[in-house]
Amino acid sequence: MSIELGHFALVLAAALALAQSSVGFMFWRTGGRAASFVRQAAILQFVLVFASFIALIQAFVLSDFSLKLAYGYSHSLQPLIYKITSVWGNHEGSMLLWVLILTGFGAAVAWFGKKLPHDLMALVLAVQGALGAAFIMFTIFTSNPFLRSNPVPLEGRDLNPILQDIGLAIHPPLLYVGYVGLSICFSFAIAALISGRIDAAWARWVRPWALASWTFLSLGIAMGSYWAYYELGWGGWWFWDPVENASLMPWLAATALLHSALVMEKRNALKVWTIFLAILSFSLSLLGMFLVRSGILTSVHSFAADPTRGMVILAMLTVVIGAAFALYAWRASSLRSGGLFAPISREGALIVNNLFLATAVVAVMVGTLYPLLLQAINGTLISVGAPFFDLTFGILVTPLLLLIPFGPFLAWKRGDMIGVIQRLAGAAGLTLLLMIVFTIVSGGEISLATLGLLIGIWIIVGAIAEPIDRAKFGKFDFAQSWRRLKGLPKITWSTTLAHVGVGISVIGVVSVTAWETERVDSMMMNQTIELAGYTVTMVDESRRQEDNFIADKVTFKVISPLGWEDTVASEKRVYTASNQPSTEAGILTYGLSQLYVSLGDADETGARVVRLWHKPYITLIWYGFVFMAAGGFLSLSDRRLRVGVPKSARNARKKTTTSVPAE
Amino acid sequence: MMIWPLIILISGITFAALIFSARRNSSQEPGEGTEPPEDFVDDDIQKTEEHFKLQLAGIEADLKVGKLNEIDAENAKAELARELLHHRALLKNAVKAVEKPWTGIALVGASVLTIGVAIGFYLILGTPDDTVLVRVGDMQAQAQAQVEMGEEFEAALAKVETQMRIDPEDVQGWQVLAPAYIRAGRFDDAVNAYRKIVELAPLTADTQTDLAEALLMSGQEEDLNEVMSLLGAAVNMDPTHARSRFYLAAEATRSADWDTAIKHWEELLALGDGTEPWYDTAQSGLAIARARGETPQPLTTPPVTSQPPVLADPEQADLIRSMVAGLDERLNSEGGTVEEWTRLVRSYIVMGDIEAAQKNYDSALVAYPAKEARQELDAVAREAGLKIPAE
Repeated sequence: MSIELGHFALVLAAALALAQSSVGFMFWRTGGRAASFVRQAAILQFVLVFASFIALIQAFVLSDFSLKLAYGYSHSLQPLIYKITSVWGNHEGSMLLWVLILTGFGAAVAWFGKKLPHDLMALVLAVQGALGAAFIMFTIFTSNPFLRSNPVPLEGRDLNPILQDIGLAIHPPLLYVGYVGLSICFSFAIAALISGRIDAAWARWVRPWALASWTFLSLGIAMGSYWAYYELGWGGWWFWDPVENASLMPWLAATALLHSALVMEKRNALKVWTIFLAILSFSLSLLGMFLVRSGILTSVHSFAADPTRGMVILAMLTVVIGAAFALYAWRASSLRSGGLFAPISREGALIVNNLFLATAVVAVMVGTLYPLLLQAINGTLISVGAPFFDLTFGILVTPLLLLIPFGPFLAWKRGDMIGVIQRLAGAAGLTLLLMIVFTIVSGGEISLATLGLLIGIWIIVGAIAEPIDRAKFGKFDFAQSWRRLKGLPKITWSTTLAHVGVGISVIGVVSVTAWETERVDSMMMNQTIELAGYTVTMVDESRRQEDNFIADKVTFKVISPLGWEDTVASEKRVYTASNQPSTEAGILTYGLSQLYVSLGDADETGARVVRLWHKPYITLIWYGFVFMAAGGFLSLSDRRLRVGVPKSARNARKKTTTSVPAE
Repeated sequence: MMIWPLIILISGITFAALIFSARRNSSQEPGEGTEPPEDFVDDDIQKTEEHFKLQLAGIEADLKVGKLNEIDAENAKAELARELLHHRALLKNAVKAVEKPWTGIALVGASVLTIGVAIGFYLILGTPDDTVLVRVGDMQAQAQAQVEMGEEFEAALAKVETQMRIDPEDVQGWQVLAPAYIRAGRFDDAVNAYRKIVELAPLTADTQTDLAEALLMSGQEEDLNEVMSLLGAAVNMDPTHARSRFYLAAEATRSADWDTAIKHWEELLALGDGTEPWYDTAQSGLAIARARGETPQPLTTPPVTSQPPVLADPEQADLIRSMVAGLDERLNSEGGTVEEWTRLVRSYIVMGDIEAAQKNYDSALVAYPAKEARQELDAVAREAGLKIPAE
């Protein structure tokens, strides 16, 4: 019965979303009463969707195969955690998770946005309600997770083995929070366009949502990358898969939005552009949804190959994006332009940042969609792979990375580039020194990889230089500078953390791309092979039976170049219910580097094909994202609201007093 | 149908919450149909201006702790003041919020419509009476009481078959279907179902013996080699498997291969402790084999005993007995086709109940006196050693 109650709760949530949207749009000018109604509807809608989600989880946990979805994607012998994650390891359940997060964000705006003006609140929740209605009805009418199976099967068909991993518990929810969080920025943008009210206060209300979405999106992408790395057994961390690109595009747009919203909040400038980015970011989220769920792609991410669903999503995409940009075209010209600023200024630097990020979005979009469009138009099959993306994305991102340290040093309104260069000279000198030491120690020659490392180190040193500069180390005595350092606002530290994270990831990417080594060999028991100074010996092979799979487990003894001895095991599994095979890689971490072992099939002589990789500093890629996310969370925790201090260039050069540049 | 009170309760709570939100606000704000006062708009202005107040407080705090100097703080305040003036001018020109007289009615209407739409959609999409779902437990219960179930059992079976057409690789589905076919007397279908189980599920002595048993029940003479091969494989896979040994011993006895029969009966008896349902039959079989067939017995029909020798699995044996009893009752009360009579007689022979087989054969003779119509029935009876009319 709980399944049916969950079903009804979802249907009622759809009706509520329709009411919320209709009342919001019709009565947004009429003050508090309608605003209260839409607030209440938004909160109730979340409660009902949450209840339906719990009902779905209960059916999976109890292996109630009268629920078609549980029959299709679960098995009574699965461990409890995978029974729960199986709920969203499929199209229908993941749609409900998407809707849950969407309504959760709507409820959060209703709950925490009590200080929002009534008209803005009503409009934001009206747009959010319209999105909720569209997605819940899409779920109910084309992807209903509550359909029943009659007669009731004895046993479920089990979840795809690749998805039976803790990664499924973490990656999709994080990513969805990121994707769906952008809907709030979208709703605020549409509300601003309709009401014509857009100012610094608007940006202050939007920025936390953009920041939260960006933070979760960063974590979601990083988690997805690491999951693919260890689970798929291919040893790669990014494949330029269209679905990966579909998550990268909104992330890039959200990064731009984050920075432009900062300009808007501090300087009341870039209003029209910020609105555009808010619409674009969520539109790209929807595009990602279309790519994953329409069936036009074949990938581990592709849930469904149902053309009906694809057409419905395409229609939704067209209506939402089309209406939003039509409104934008109609209303944007009426928005008052903001504060003026010189090209060399913090605002100018952030515009450069935005331009590079926006162009990178276009490059990734072209590479992702062009083959699909070409195939749709004339049936030609072409593949746009890593070489295209590496080249175009690399060319666009490199100058952006080089410029990162300059931005925080520039003053608002009018900056002093010569002064900034002087203040960054120390950081540049330290970067060069580190690179020279590295090149000498490694005995290497100057190469593209060395230059890549140089950029990574430059970003880190430049980011750390900013708080040090602001604390005036060397100009005041140490104790006074230390006090100033401790007194710096959280947003300064969060900027530093995020930029350091970018540098760390860059170093990881460059290292693993340039210096990764690989060996594929056929190994017998007790045979030893070597790779990058590591000695790997096959020492044991056994078979183990778990509740829902049988695994051939091969254990290797590894001796590192420093003489440390470890063992690592890789498995070939066969999941009994679905009869699907899967490979579990064995990974040993040495400091920041990893040794990666992937087991192949046995040949007729009993020898096993074994793939070995040494991946120097690969963990830095993900640690970098953790730093970025930590920066995001730190900034979110900063409740202090600060204002830009317009500072004349003359003052900036003249003053050596206690002035602290505004962030 | 307990669900409807709960649905009404949830709908009621939702409706009340929506109405409450609108009413609560109306008690604090101007009544319906009245022009809102100036401060109604100012409420929004005030909320937006909190942002500027907080920024001003931030500047003062920074000035106090020395993070801003006097000049920078003054510049910041001046810019803030310019922003504030612009903001006020913008809001003063904005259209004032005017609550329409019918706003309250519209909100109540929206609430009613919400509930109505939800219940309407649910009636189309939901399964409010989920007792209509046929669960596995229910199916087994239906099988136990097949006689009472009649057509309902067939309907349940048809639903499973429909599902198997959608997903023919669902081994659990075949495991439900195969014994159900046996119960329904559809031995050829049972053979197919057991073949799918052998193909899809891990091979065990039980699955091979199940298939052999179904082949025996389907009564095709040409299947005998396959039956023996399956039973032999089952014994090889699990030497302690009593059911497959029983059939091997019975077949050796039937074909007068006395030495093999003695070996199988002895090995079977060695597996038991005297309490098994097949034990007495096995002892009799051994005695006959040792006596070199003084009392020849038909296929799988060891000496007549009150204990049917079939199947080590008592649940399965019970199911088959109930199926046969049901068929017996129906044919003797309502009559049936000659194929059905043949199936009934063959079932009793397989179960070792020769007396019942003979009785039903005699009833079939009354129903089908023309011997041309009962050639297969006569062949089965002859093979089992039943008394048949002279040629």
